Amino acid sequence: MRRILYIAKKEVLLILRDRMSMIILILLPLIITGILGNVLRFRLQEVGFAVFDRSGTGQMIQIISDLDASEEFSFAGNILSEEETHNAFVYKDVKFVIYVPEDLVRGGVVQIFLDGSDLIMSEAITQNLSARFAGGGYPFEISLMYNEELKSEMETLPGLVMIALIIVSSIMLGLSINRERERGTARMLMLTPAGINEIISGKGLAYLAVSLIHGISVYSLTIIMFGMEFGRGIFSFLLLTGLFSLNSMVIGVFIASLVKTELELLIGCWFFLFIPNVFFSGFIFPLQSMSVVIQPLASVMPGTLFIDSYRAIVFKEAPLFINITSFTLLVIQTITFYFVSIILFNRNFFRK
Amino acid sequence: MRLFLATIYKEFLQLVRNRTLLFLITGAPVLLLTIIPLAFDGDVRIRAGVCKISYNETIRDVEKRIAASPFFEELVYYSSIEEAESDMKKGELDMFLVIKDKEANLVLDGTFPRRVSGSIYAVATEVFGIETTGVNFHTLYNAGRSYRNYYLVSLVVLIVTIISAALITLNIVNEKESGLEEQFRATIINRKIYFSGKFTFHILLSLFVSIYSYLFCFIVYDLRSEGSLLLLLLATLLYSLPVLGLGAFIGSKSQTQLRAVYVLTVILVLLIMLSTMFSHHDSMPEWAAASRFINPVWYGIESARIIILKGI
Amino acid sequence: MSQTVIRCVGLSKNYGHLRAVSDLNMELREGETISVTGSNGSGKTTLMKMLCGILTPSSGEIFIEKPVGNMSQSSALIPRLTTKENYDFYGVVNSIKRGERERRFKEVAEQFGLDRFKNKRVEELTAGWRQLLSFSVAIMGEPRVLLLDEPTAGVDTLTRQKIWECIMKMAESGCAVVVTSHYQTEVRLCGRNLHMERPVQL
Repeated sequence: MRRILYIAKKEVLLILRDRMSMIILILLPLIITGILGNVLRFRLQEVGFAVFDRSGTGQMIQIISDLDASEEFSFAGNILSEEETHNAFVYKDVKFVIYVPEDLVRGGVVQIFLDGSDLIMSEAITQNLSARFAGGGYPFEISLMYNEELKSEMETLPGLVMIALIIVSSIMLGLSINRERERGTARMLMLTPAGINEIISGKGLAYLAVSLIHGISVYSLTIIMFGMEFGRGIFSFLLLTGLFSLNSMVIGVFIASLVKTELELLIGCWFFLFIPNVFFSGFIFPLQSMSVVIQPLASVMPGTLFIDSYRAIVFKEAPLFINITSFTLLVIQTITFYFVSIILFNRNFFRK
Repeated sequence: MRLFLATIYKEFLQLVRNRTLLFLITGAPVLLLTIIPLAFDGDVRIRAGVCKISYNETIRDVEKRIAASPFFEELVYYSSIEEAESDMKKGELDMFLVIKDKEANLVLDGTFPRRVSGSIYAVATEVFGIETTGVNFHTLYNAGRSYRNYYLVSLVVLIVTIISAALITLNIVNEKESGLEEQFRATIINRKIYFSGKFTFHILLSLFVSIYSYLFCFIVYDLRSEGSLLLLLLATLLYSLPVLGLGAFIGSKSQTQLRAVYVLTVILVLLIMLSTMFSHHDSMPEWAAASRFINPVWYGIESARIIILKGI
Repeated sequence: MSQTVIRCVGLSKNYGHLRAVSDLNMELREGETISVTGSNGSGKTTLMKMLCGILTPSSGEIFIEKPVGNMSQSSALIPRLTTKENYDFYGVVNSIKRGERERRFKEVAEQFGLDRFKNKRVEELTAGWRQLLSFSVAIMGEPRVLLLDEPTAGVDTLTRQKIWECIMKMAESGCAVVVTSHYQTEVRLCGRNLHMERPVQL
């Protein structure tokens, strides 16, 4: 077992000395939180709207200026004819047009035209405006559990941590293995009493440490940048992060055992690890919006399991094993892929 | 010029005899366009629960309305608030109603801010029958009210961007790695023409991949363009120029294939994320939103959206 | 009076602290053949690259008469293209019109026996045939100078003979030839010799 620690230490040294690794290590959390965290959120903010007022009265003026003054909307200008409506949507970045009919005073109804090509935005606008025009409030009380300030970054945060972990764990580990293979040092290591098992474990340990650091740094950065509160389940959080990193690494190793060149490894990781986990894990599209065909598969994907558990543990301060199925599945997947990889590696590590 | 045409011919031959690349431009788009749309196929329904502390008329009414409404999934019943909270912690419940006599309390899961307003709206209109008076909403464009087309267009632009950039980058790095680039430096007198030929070939390739992808969507997903197809082609042509230029630049500066792919990946991911493909520029901070004007991918996706979904 | 086609004055190339080519002076006239010899890593390829024009000298001058035919260690052939397609492509590069290209290809194909590989992809040819094809491409532009970096590496005796026959013929018709080689027999065939020493540590 001491050998494994030694291999891990050597691996850490290699990482520290390789410029590319260091760049990835340092830049990655910054890019992911700094850019993606700010970009991948949804918030109605200065959404442009135009007004086509035929009533000739000043009745709407108060409403329009209230809307403009709010942080959600921003008045883009007046439209003077119907033809201009289309132009407004296409050229002026207007997301909805308020049409005030001539007979407003006599009970005419205000029409709001939305951009159907951007349904998400339209629905959000509809909801917001309906609430404003609903007059008289709701017949029910509203309470929010978790995230009372409705910070929209929270929605994407688990996904961001997931991405950082996947990239670090799988790609870097797979590359490291291939690096050994191509440099031939692998042959020497294989002849030692250590064997493939310990080599992979040793490397795995090193990258596990790296992944944990990454997970923590992405998380801390979001706290600093977006001012989110610190959940109290730090131990559970570390455990979850570690488990998921291990899972990604093992899948990366699995892909490495199947391909011959580093380039193939990278492309393989992209197609079979990164893309499925980004699109089908609930990060961009919610699980319920997925086709029935793919939902069962998507719900056991490691990314999904991670994101669900993350939300529960970090945001909702749930006990560690509230998502016991998720944890079990992650563990099972990790172990399975690990053993399959070892078998494959022993069989054809030197196939070139 | 003769060298120009000969270069295009040479690139063409090299491409069609490379099985991996052929797959990349024909198989990969089809694969991605088949699988990824499965992620946004259905409608999002709200997972609602109701706490039956004491059964009464209001609850029965609520049950009926929720069952009848397309906004909601099948209603789940809880006998206590703690049970409902537990499910919400697990992430299995979006909201639940606690109804005591005539008082109703709507409890929402705040970790999905987007769904919060949607849930409030749905409960207000569908369950409690609140109507907004004096205002009517109409949706222009996309009469089918499906947000699938919106994402399909994004997906096609994504695929075209990645494949175009990757192909030209790998092409250039490969010539470097195999020593051909050196040879050409020694033998080809007019290297500008050679490079123009290569670049032009990749422009044609981009156009091919985009036509191919749109055709696939046309046939399989019934995607129709509101605007002129010719204009769409022109837009694709224009936006692929800087993307290819970037790919060529990265290829020429990289020593190995691996490094080229690394750098390309990072830069492309950044450009794609900042291009409003998965977000809205109003939701971004100022600097990010402003960056879209120098982002070729943004031009690509915005022009595609305007032409296909709104129509020019 | 035969013309000078290559002249190097004070030619040097440094790679960091290593000086691969040190203050070289050389003059070559039409029809002369010179072999460049030296142990591995002595700077032969560096010299060849500078003569080609793809490497800039650290100091000194080169004058070389165009057109130049070049055959280097990394093959100029495009692997996925066939023999004929490669020849055609380089023909266009050398601004040889199609009719003329066809004629020359026939000549060269018969002379070297490449005829039967006309439509075979270069990646499917063995080393010997590839060298022959590379050589044909090098002489395609009717060069005044031929730069050949190990033209007979990995090639069988018969092919080597063919190549050298051709080299000698080119020299007779006024082409200057610079050849790198490890083989004594080839060195003896050349009129002059340039022997390079190991690079010097600065």
